[in-house]
Amino acid sequence: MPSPGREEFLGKVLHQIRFPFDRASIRSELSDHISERVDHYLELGYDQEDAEQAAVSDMGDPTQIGIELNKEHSPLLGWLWKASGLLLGTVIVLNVLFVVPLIGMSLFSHYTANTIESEIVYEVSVDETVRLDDRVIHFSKVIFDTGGNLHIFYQHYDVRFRSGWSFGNIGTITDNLGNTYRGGGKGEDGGLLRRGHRVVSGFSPEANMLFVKYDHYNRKYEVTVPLPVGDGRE
Amino acid sequence: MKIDKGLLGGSTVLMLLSLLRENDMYGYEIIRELEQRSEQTFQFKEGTLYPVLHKLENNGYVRSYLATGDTGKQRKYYKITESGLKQLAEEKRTWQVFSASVNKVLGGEVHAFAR
Repeated sequence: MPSPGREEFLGKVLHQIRFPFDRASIRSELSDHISERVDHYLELGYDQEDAEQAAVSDMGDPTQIGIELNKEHSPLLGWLWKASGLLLGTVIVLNVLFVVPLIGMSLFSHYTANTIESEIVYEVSVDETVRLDDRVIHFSKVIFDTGGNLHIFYQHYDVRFRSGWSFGNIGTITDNLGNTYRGGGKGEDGGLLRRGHRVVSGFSPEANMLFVKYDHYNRKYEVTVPLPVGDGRE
Repeated sequence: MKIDKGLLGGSTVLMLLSLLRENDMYGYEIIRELEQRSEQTFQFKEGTLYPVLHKLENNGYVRSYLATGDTGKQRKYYKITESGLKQLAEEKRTWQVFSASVNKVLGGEVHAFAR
């Protein structure tokens, strides 16, 4: 149970994080850490209140930690830095970026589905953020339905706060069984923060790992999502 | 190389990457390992670990994922990447050169100052 001391600590850390998108994940990571330390102190025989207090004090100075974390979570600064030196290169890359997703969108648009029509077999929350140049993509949820469709939900935005192009192709979808899947994506209009939803049909119900790999024009990322599978499988 | 302020000094990245080469770990687990392996020599403000981990992630040396561990709790794990392994080799080399040089100075001081 969170104590006022813990809330105060987390509040002071998050106060330093100027980029709201990352606050929730920072909060839960630090709060989880404190919980583990509290359990440790409880095992040593502390009472709840003392354990909370000791665990929070072990963390260190929240403002200092917040300032350091903010440096790692500030895409706007990253952009300014980039702009100072790489303006020409960026312009060329952006032109390429404009074309690729547009082609991707038109190719795949007939596959798109906006809602999940079958029943949900499993749902996994994901918290993975990747970056392609000035575009930040945050994967949030994976749903597998009884129709054999795997739905990958993500949000994306441009760190320069322009609404710009859609982002249709999140990459190649594979699983731990060696299957590669093709499927449609749909970018929904959402202003600066856009939502995407990619549907992969015929996804293996046996797979317990999902991989999303992007590798174009020397820009790459890879996202791994562990999937819950039926009884008796590890 | 200048990300170690607040944690343990120049060897932080080296130690974190070495631990993660053995296993994917979450933050608290890393702190416990560091404490135990150093026989409590390294005790520090635990929250300062996270800016370093997030920096390593921004640099592409590690990546993170959410997974449910043996206790059923969902945690954020860190995993070393290819480029993290390369960086680890690099940091190890730097460390060896550094510590060998320090040892030479220590071993040589008698001769250096005996006139």
